[in-house]
Amino acid sequence: MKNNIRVERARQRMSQQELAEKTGVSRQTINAIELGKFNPSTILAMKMSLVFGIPVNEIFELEEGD
Amino acid sequence: MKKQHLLPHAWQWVGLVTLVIGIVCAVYVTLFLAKGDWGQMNYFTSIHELGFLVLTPFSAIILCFTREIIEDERIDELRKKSLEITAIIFVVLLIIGPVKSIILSKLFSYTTINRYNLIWDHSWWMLFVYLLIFKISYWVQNKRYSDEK
Repeated sequence: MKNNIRVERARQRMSQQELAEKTGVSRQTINAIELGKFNPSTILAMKMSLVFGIPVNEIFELEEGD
Repeated sequence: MKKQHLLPHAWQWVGLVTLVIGIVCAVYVTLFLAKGDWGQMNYFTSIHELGFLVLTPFSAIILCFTREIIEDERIDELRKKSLEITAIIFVVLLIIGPVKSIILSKLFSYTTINRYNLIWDHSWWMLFVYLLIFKISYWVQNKRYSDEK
């Protein structure tokens, strides 16, 4: 699964730490998600969507083979 | 939000202290048994045996069921994977258990095997296997993902 978290963070001038605090996870977890090493749960994806103020499908995209 | 049935992070200190006392007792028991007096020895004959047999599994339980500083879903998944690997190791050990007993009985004396059993033949060692797998993967993952790229 691809994601645009880094792009959205940059657009909103938000650090990984700030996003982690707002979503209640660790900074390492945010980094792992950004790198595509960990797929977040629906709840975490929805929280990110709320923080960024955009729909979930604009943050996460399915890749071929998913 | 999913509720996690884990002890607060501060309990890790309780676990570590009891583990250290348990290890000290284990070392004492091992050294004492190494003198070859095992045949006459029974469980719970000294405070050291009691310490080893009670505190070590107690510390393992506490350390296994204590929260990390930030206990999120990545850590939750890590716990599940560690438990999965531990279960596989446990099943493999159960399968090879009888074979191990036959081999040991051919190679060593009864007292030596009993000594081995006292120290190693407890299923609660699996808690330490789980703990080891979990802590190593936790450390490796945190190190890998700590740099903001």
